[in-house]
Amino acid sequence: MNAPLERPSGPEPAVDLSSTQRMTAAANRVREQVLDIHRSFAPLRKVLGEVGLLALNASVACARLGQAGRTFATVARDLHSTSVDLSSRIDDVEGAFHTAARLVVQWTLAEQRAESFRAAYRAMGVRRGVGFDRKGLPIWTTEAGARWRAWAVDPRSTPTERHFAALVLAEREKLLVAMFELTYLIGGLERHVDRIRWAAVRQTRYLRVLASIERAHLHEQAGAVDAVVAAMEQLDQRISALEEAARDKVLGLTLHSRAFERAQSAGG
Amino acid sequence: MRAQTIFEDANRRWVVFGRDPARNEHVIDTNQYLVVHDGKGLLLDPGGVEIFPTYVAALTAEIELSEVESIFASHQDPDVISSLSLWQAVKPEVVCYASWTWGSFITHFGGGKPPIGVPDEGGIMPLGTSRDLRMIPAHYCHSSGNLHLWDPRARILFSGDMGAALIPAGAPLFCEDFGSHIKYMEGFHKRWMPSNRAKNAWAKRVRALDPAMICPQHGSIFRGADVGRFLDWIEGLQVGAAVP
Repeated sequence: MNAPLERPSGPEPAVDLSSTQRMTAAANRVREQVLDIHRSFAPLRKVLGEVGLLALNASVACARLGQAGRTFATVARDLHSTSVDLSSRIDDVEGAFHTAARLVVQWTLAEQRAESFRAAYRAMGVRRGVGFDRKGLPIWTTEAGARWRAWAVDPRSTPTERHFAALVLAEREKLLVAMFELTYLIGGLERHVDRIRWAAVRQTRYLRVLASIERAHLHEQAGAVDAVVAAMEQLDQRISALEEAARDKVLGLTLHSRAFERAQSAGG
Repeated sequence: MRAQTIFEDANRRWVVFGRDPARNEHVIDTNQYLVVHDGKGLLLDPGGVEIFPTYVAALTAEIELSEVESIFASHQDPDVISSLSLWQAVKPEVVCYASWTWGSFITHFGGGKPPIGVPDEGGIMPLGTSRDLRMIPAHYCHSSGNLHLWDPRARILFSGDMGAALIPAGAPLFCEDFGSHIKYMEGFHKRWMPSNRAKNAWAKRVRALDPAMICPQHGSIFRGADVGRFLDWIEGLQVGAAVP
């Protein structure tokens, strides 16, 4: 066996992580927004469940009131159908957010892989004596806005370094595709959130009509069944609470959606 | 990251990479090995994602990446093979060999292409035109599907976590004083090796090979008389310490 042959290693690479840190921070912000929006679905679904119960109670009361309850019955049916519609729209939005969460993960992974290849590219350059500026760019890259696309074919790099520059490019393309898909998705989410907002407004209007009909009816039919009176009093109280809750949730959802869009734009 | 040739003849070369001074202090230090035969390269336990950039830079000073044919993973741990997807991106045709038990587990590190599943009895590791490198069984030392690599030409055994030591910064590449080295590997072997029967069977097989060097994935390399000292020591050690 030959004697061990020591090879001196070159200076260690100085890697500027500021770009990666910015991208990772942007991805983290988007992830937080996605989670926040997702968290807002649970209370919204609870409100919807209450609306469904109110519609059921209203139908029962309507049956007891007979002929006088006909208008009431129409409103109760509408209330029920908007509840179902709202529930299905929330399902759609929730599905879209699962896709958004997946895209954020793809974005983060692509960024991490790009950073590995970027660091390897720089380390190889440092090893053979190429200088890097404070931003981590090769010193020969004096052109403003120089990008990996140029480095991937730069004759001053070795073939292996050019290969790594191309790998960085490939990962950045994956990252950009994920960001583009997210942007498209957010556009769709805006429309979904708008529809949910209007469906919720419609619901609160139905509930108001329902309450006023019931109040008028109960005034005329003083001898109505005690259970119906109790149900309607309860309904009146819950309408106010429900209106407030629905307004809060829809407002929260809109704010989250706006913040999500801002975070995504910052990442881009 | 330092690179040092530990064996070289007309056709074959072994290079060890490690002792990276820029290593993240939270990342366990690892030894990466390169075996070159007639210009073709085999990477042994190429390590994790964390060390990939510095390892690539050090490796390209020794061999063109286009000449790297294959990767050998002694077992499934992240410090052994979590960089696989990056290597597959660098060179899509690179072939990874690992125990059959870990194929679909290692694929969780990404890359999509599973390793070639090596049977329990081991097998030949092709490298260029050579067919003398052997993957030999080391199951339960420590992983349930564990392989080591034996080079009869260099008489070097790559032993994965067997012989590993958690050494302080600046420790020598080759073990220089076996007695004082024990404290760095005793706790590791007692805890990480689960079976006395498995490690004794391993020691018996390795003794029969009569290696000139035992090269672990962590710590210092044993050579000369220290090979026998290590085998004696490991045979006398009670392992599986987590079970009272």
